[in-house]
Amino acid sequence: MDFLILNDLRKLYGSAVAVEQFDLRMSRGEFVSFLGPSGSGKTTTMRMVAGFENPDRGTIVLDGMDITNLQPNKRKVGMVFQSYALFPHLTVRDNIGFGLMLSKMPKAEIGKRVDEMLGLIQMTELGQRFPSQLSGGQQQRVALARAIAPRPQVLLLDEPLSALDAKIRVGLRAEIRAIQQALGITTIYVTHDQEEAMSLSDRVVVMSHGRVEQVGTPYAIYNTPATTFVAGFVGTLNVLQGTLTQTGGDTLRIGSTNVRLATKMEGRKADSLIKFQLRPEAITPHPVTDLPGNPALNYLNARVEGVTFLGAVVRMRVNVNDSPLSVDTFNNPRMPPPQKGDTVQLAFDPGACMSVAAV
Amino acid sequence: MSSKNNPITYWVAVAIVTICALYLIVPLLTQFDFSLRMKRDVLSLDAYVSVFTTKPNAVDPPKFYTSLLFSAGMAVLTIAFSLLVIVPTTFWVNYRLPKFKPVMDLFSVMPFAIPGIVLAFGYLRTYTSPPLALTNTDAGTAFLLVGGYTVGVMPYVYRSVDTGLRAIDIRTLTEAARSLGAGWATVIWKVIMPNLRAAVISASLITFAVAVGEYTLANFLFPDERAFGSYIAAIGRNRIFEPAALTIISYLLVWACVLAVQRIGRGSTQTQTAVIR
Ligand SMILES: Nc1ncnc2c1ncn2[C@@H]1O[C@H](COP(=O)(O)OP(=O)(O)OP(=O)(O)O)[C@@H](O)[C@H]1O
Ligand SMILES: [Mg+2]
Repeated sequence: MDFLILNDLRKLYGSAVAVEQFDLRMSRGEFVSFLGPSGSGKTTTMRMVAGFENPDRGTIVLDGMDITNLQPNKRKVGMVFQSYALFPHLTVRDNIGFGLMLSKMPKAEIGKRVDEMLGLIQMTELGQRFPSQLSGGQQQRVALARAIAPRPQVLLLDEPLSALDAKIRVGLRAEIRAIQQALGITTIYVTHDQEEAMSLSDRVVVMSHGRVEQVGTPYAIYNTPATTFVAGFVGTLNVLQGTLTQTGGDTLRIGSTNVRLATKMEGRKADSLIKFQLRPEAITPHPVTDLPGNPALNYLNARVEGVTFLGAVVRMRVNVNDSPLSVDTFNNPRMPPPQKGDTVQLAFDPGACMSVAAV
Repeated sequence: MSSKNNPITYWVAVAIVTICALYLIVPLLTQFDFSLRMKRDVLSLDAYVSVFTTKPNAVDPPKFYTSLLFSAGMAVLTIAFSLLVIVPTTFWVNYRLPKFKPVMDLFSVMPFAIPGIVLAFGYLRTYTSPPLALTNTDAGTAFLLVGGYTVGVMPYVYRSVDTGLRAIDIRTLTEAARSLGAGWATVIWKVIMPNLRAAVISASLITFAVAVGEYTLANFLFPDERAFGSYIAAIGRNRIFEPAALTIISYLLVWACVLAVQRIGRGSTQTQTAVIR
């Protein structure tokens, strides 16, 4: 049974479409991220769930109840904002207790719940401080505690970490996920940071221009992108092109080398130009002195244009037949990476070739 | 730096400040001096005693107290009423109807363009005959007075509330409160108002000063000279030394007000305590 259903949502600002045909079904306790570039409608969709925007079309059903036209203060939805939005005139305790106070919870019980929340965000000592006396990371933890203290049915976070340092961001990210899982809160998380979305979510909704491009697990989004947009937006993507050797075949000619794809290009004529995509980590560089060993793999010669040693990962920029490619390999202590100007052969599985946009 | 190094600029600055100070202080000093000369050839506080003790008749307390109390009461009511009306309105215009902002800005300065006497006549004409005969009762007349003052101080109150609102992120604060279950009244009085304290205090102070000293409207609506403004005017017409004493007393009252407000303002930040323990 779906806990939160967003059904064919649409929002216009004047005549401009902010969100269109947005469908999503979330189960209880699920963590879903909205991922997309600026202006893709992530915030607008989330604000419709919160009740701050009225959809021009479609319905929102929460736990079996149609809440499409319910006021925000009646929805039991918790929100965390990019700018923290703590009440400046209230202490940390009073901020966290604000929603509880409005729900007419007895004082003693509020105190207990606030203590519990302070423990959860590891800020037991700082309850009497005012927001202005806290760091950004601490303020955002308080904002999270304030949002979840009244036990909302849905938690909404709109780029909660983008005002913070990279280091704090990663730590707080894990903390948010841990708290969300411990309490089993159904959560929507808006971000334009793909790493954030991938690492946190049960499922990711990739959006572009107000539309859903794909909904799926991070694994599915990354490995089987449904559209070019998704493929390009999530992770790095190399684009290669070649000419089809025979009508409806599965082999391309790139320069003087043949490359096999996983699927046959049905309906495509011989000599037509075909594009395909490869993830940087799907490519393994070998020295040219190694003979092409595995007949199941494709091999392409490439010139090395730059090598970046990142520790565990070595990132190379190479050039194949005038197409720039990015190649990631793991560091190997027994084999130093190639040098700039070297020629290497790149090995890749035909199954790793993504043909999301046949030209 | 440069003004210190350049003696001419420095002395010009000192001269300007001095002239301004004298312009303010000299009349005050002469008033003060004059107020002490009720008794021939000696300095005395007789004028002050007269202000504080002169009774209108055998039974009523001195007019100084009754009129001051009356006007202070009207001023407090005006503060409450204008905040009640202007804070939610300004909030709403900022939050939901930013398109109406220019209209509001224009509207808020209109009281400057309408002389008090016009307003007073307008009120009398509109509200003395049925169906809106407010002036039949004291309470009705007082309500009319408070309404008039509210309009009169609207430019000040609107300005300072608007400035205060712009200093805080009302949109996200409002949405945070709403998502936590707050209705509009809670948003305005528990979230917005507490963060407008400085603006509210300065607006209240101006309102108080304006309402306590106001003459035209008060005198029209209460021709029995019940208001402080009418009392001051009557004293000015009928007495010689008491008006001077009254001027000094008014100054001291205003200063006391300013100091008190500053104390309250500062004190409450430091002693602001947690509601939830
Ligand atoms: N109040 C508004 N009035 C008019 N247009 C708006 C309004 N809010 C959003 N839009 C438009 O709707 C579209 C979607 O905006 P939205 O804020 O949902 O994007 P977003 O995905 O959250 O982007 P970002 O990552 O920059 O926050 C944008 O084109 C934006 O300009
Ligand atoms: Mg946004």
